[in-house]
Amino acid sequence: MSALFPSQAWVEALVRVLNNDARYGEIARNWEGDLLFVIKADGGAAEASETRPTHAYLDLWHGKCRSGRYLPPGSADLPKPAFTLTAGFAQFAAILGGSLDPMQAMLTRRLQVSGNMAYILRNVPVVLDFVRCCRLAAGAD
Amino acid sequence: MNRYLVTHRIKRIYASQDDLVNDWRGLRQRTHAEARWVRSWYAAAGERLYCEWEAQSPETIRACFLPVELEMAPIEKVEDVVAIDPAWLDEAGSPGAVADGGAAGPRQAPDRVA
Repeated sequence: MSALFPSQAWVEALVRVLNNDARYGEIARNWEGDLLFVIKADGGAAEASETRPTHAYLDLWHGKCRSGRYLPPGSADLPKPAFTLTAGFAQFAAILGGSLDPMQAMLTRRLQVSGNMAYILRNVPVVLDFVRCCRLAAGAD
Repeated sequence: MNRYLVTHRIKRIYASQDDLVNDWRGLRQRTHAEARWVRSWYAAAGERLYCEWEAQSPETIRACFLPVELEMAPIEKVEDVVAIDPAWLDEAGSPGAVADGGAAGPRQAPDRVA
């Protein structure tokens, strides 16, 4: 299973992984909270400000993903989720590729988290296993 | 300098990423030559934070924390510890490294008696 990040195919692959992975289902059995990836264009500030971000939305609920949507740049009516993860494409790619630790990314703000950070830290195993599933969908693992 | 393992019980966590990161950065900036924060392990299920420090004394470690930090993550215990690297066991098991301290070089296999 391998899909380009970010893309509709990647979101679909990730939804399949999340809904079929027994380990994720067990670890995330108590998780409640939908999630929006905000993938910003890389490059300098001027370039980044001129390029609208790409979004991916996942409705995560008790070890399953109830729905997932890829939202290309310029999409209207963006969801207002419990958690938003914002970073440049290179940072997301580094996390998915395994060269950037997700905890390190959060504590250095390379990955910006909007939403209850306390909930995220109390559920770190869920977060880390979710990242594992993201890597599986991208074909990195 | 002694090495300490400090166990914190996590009572409360900042709800915002900025508050959390700013607080932890502040703690890091308050450390100094006599109290060095080496690394931490966070155990979410047990709501504990285990931190390794190199310090003159437990008091020099405690002095790095703000009252609000000790209220949010009180110190349960400070233990004087010694580091053990499992890789040392590989070295200890290598030929010639045990009985003669390695001075004689690789130990020879005993002569086969047929």
